[in-house]
Amino acid sequence: MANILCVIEQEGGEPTPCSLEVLGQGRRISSALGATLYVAVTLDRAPGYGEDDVLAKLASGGADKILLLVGDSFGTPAAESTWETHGAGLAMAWDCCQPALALIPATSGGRELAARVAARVGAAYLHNAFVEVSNHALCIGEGHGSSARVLPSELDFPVVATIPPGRYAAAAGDEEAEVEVLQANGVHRFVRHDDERRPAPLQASVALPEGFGPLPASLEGARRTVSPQPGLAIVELPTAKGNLKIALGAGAGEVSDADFAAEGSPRELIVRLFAKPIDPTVGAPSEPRR
Amino acid sequence: MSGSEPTTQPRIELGRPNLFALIEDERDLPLIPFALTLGEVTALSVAPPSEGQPAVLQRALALGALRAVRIWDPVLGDVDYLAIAHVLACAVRHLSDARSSSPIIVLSTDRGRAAVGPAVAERLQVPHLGAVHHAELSRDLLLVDRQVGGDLRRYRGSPPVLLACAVREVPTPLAIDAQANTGNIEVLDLPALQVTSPELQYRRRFRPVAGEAPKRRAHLVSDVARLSERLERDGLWPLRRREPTPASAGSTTPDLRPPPSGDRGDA
Repeated sequence: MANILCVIEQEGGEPTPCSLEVLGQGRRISSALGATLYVAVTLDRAPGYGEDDVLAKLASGGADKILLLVGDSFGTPAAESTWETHGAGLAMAWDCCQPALALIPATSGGRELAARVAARVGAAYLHNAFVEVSNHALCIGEGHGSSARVLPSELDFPVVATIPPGRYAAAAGDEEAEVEVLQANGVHRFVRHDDERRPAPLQASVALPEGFGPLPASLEGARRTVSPQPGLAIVELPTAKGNLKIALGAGAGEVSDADFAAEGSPRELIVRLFAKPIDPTVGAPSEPRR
Repeated sequence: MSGSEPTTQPRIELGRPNLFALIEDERDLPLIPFALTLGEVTALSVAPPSEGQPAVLQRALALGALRAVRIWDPVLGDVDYLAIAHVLACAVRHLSDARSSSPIIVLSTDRGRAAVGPAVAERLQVPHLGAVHHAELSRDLLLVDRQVGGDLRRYRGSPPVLLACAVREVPTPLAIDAQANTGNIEVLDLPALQVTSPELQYRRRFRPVAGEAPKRRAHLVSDVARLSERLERDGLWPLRRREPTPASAGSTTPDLRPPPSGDRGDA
């Protein structure tokens, strides 16, 4: 396998956690198969002196080569990515490295781009994929257990795969990476109409143990069902793209199709997860850690 | 970008749009009432005649679709998303010919893999927007509300466009009565769309097949408060409304180092 491409999203000037996990798995696969790991990251302007923290993080996260896509349309938050704003840049990155495999975070923004870029290049497309190396062969597919579907290990066509949050660990590289700057501009056939924000309808569902009692305010509108297992609560969050499943309570770690799990008292965990006091500093741009 | 004008589409008074809803199964039927707010809709489905699709398309008609068109060829049974999208895009072009001056709006459902809709947009070379909750025509513009994080944001532009809609509520099962549109379901084959089987057959090997997945466990976290913070940073869940803050709050950035790989079922 020649090249692997990881697409990086940023929030507050830093790679998102899911992006670092995607990069980490890309690093492991690249090392196992002898591939070059490219990373595509977008910025609204090229970083100046002392502003290359994001590049340093990507290099230390395992990137061999960083394709820095610079353009006016990349100033929007990752969750607002559309093919209009980011498609041309992603297509340019693809054309630059011609990857056999592209890994994209299965987030709102990532999923907005992944299927379209797969269609553009005629690639196979996998959603919420597993991408691993076993016995020196690539094992790539989607689903889990008996419902899993896989591609042949000897691929002779490109693959685009979205990777869900929490599936893989981040990795560490040698902190050295080549950087190539590409100028890319979006196409603005559909643009934001105004700056108004209205809350999206809450369509979460929660399976709760019998007698659970009232839910935290942020989950009050969720659809409630009875948990199939005593002492276990399962929360399904409808993100902008698909559901995220979180198991909370006794034996939560054994729920095979959950994305995240925490063990303990389901009531206490739900309250801590969804009723945490608002901290306006969380998620704000941070100082460089070094 | 906010507040700027669309740059590549001339501003013209929108005529009655050529409106298509891509129907795979019953979960896509909410697209019909969604589409009816924009105009007359044609329901399109790729399906063999014997797998219940006529019933789904009959329901689409009963829900108000003006036409229902089923497309089928045996080769479509085991090809991937892109081959299906290619056929659907050809069908949209074919069915739009009669009113070619009208703009095209294609609706798909944003659920599951959600690959066919964007691929149809790519084949038609039109913009696409996902996570759409609402759309309305306003003279020369299409206004679209889409979910961004925990918010709805409004976009505007001129068709053609494909909207991948976050419509999840399946309409109450309908009894098809005498008042409902029970018109014939039209059938298109590949020759009618000027598509040949060999064009599609090569996509068979791009489709994943039943196999064994690596054993996977959920990502076990010890601090759910940090989990909520990272979900927000990934744009996945609006646990808090973020307020603008000075950039000097670095000390509160959560430690997002994942647990050892042994906890996570990695290969």
